Amino acid sequence: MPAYRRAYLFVIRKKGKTALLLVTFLVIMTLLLAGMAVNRAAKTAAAQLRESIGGYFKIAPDYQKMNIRQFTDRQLIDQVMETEGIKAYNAMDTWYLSVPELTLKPGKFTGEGDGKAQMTRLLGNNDSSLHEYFVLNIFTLEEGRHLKPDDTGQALISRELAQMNQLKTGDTFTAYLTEDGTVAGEAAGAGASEDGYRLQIAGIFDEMHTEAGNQNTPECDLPANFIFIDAATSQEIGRKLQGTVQRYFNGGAAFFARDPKELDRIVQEVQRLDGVDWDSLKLTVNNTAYQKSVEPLDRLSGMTFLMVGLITVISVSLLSLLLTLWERDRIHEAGVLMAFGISKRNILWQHFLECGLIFALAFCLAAAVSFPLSRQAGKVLYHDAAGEAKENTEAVSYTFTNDPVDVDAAAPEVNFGAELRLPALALSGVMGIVIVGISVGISFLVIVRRKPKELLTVME
Amino acid sequence: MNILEARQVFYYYTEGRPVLNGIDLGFEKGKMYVILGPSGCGKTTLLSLLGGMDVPSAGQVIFNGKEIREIGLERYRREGVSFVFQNYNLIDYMTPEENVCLTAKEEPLPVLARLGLTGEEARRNVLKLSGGQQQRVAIARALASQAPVILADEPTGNLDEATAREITAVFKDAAKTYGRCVVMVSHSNEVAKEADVVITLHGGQVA
Repeated sequence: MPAYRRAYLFVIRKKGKTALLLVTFLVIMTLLLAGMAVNRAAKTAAAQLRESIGGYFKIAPDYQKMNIRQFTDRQLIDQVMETEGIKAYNAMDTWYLSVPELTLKPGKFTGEGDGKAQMTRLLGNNDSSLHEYFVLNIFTLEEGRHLKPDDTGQALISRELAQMNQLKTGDTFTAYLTEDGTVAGEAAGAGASEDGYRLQIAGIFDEMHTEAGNQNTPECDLPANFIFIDAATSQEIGRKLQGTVQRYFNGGAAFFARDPKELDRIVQEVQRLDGVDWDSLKLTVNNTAYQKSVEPLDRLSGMTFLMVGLITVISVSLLSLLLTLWERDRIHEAGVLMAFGISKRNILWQHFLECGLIFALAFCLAAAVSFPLSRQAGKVLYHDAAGEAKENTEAVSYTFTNDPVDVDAAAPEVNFGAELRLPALALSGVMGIVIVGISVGISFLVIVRRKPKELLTVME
Repeated sequence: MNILEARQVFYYYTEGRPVLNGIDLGFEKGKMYVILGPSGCGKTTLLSLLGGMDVPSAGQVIFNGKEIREIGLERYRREGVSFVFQNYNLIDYMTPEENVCLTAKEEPLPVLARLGLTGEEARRNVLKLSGGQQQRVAIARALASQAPVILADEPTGNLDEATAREITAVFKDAAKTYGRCVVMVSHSNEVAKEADVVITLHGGQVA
C-alpha cells in the first residue's frame, strides 16, 4: 500500500487528531498570513514613500551673512546635479509684485490703507510640484496642473484667492513690478510700473497645515495670496530686476535624492565640491516628511517581522511537541510497517503527507479568513504604530515666516493597504510546508533512532 | 533444500554473555517448525534475526542461498518473510481488508474469506473483531504477502484453547497447502504436537 493511501486513511479515520491538527494549522497559518500581509504592505508602502517623497536638501544664499560672495546660480546647480543619487532639482525665486486686478486676502496693510496691500509674493520655480510647499504637503494642488519647466506665463493661485476673485483655471491676470522693484517704499502697489506680466491660471491649490494669519500679517505673507509662477516668467522678472541674463536664484535650489536613505551621503559629497563658497551659502537638509512617514512603517515592518519569526518558532515547537507525543503512540505502527519491509523514509513520507494534507486544507481556510483579517489587522497595527508620529505632525503648523526647509514637515498620507497578495500567499505556503517538514522531522526522531527490533520491543 | 538457514549465529546484548550461542538451523518449505524453550532462552531473538529485524553479532542468516544483508534487510523483510505477532499488531485505522492490503500481492478478500472472515467483517474496524478474528487477519496479511517464510511469535499466546487450535491449524494449512515455511515460537506443547519439526532452545543453544 503506497504511503499516500496510508496517509489518506489516517487523516480520514483519526478524526480527533485530524481536527486538532487542522485547528492548530489554521491558527498558525492565519497569524502567519496576516503577519506577512501586513509586513509586506509596510515594506511596499515604505518603498513607495522612498520613491514618491524623497528627501531633499536646499542650497541658498545665507542672508544672515553680511558679505555674500556666491549665489545659487546655474553653474552651481549643474555641479551639484552631477552628484550620484540626485533625481531632480527645483530652482526657486521669490518676488514681490503688485496685482491690482485682484482682491487679495486682507492683512496688515489693508487696515492701514497702505498701497502695499496690493502686493503679494510670487514664487518662481521650474517645477512647482517640487516646490518645498508642495513637497512638504503644506499646499496641495486641487485643480489644474503643476507648472513645468517649459511653461511661460503660467501661475498657480490659492482656492481662497480664486474664490474671492471668481477665477478659474484658464483665466488670466497681470502682475506688475513696482517702481523700485521692492516691497519697500510708498510706490509699491499703487505705483506699479508699466512692466506687467500676463499670467494664466494653470492650477489652483489648497492650503494644508497652515495658520491662516491675522490682521497684523502683511498681505504678501498670507499663504492665500501666494502665487506660483513658471521659471521663464520668473527669469524675466529677475533679468529685469538684476539687469543681467546670467542671474542667480534668490530662493536657492532644492535637490531631491532618489532614495532618502542616501541623503546623508549625497550631502557629504556636495559639501566636498570644489569651488563652492560655503561661507556664502547655506546647505539645509529636510528629510522629515520621509522620516515621519517611514517611521511607523519601519516600526510596523519590524514588529510584523518579529511576529512572523515568533509564530514560526512557536509553531515548530508546538507542532513538534504535539507530533512527538503522537509519534510515541505510533511506534507500534512504525514497527509493524518496518517488519513488513516498509522503509523508515517511506513511513516519514507518510507522516509528512498526513500533516501536508491537513495543512493544505488549513491553508485554504486560513487564506479565506486572512483576506479580511489582514486588512483589519493592518489598519489597527498601522494606526497604533503611526499614532505617535501623527500626533507630532498634527501639532506642527507652518507660519510662513520660517524657511520651509527648516520645517518639521507634515507626514503625507500613506496609502497603507495590508492585502493578501499572491507572493505573500506563496511565501507563507512555503513557510508552512517548511514548518510541517521540520516538525514532522523532529517528531520522527523517536522512530528514526531505533532499529525495527527495538520498535517491536517497545511495542510489546 | 533449506530456504532459510542460521549458520553459527551468535547474539550478545552484553559482551561475554551470548543470548544465542552458535545456532545452526535449517528450514524447508512446506514444513511447520515450532521453537520451544523457557523464557529468556533466546526464542524471540532468534526469530527476529531470522526475520531480518536485527543482525547477528556473529554468524549468518541465509535465505535462498544468500546472506540476508546482501539481499538488503528491508527487501528481505518485504519479499522473503512475513510476521505474525502474539498481539496481532494490526494497524488500528485500517479495516481488515486494508491491513491485508499493506503487504498483499493478491486480492485480500479471498484470503480473508479462506480464513473465515465475511465481507462485512473484512470492512469492519479491526478493533471490533474478536482476538481470534484479529489473529486470522494477521495471518491473512502474512499469507497475502506471498512471502515464502512465515515467522510467528507466540501467535496463540493470547487466545483461548479452542481458538488456538484453529489458528495452529491455519498455520499448518499454510505450510501444507500453500507450501510456506512456517517458523513458530511457542510455549505450548499442544502447538508443538502439530509441528513437523520441534526445536528446543536452552541457554542460547539448540538442545
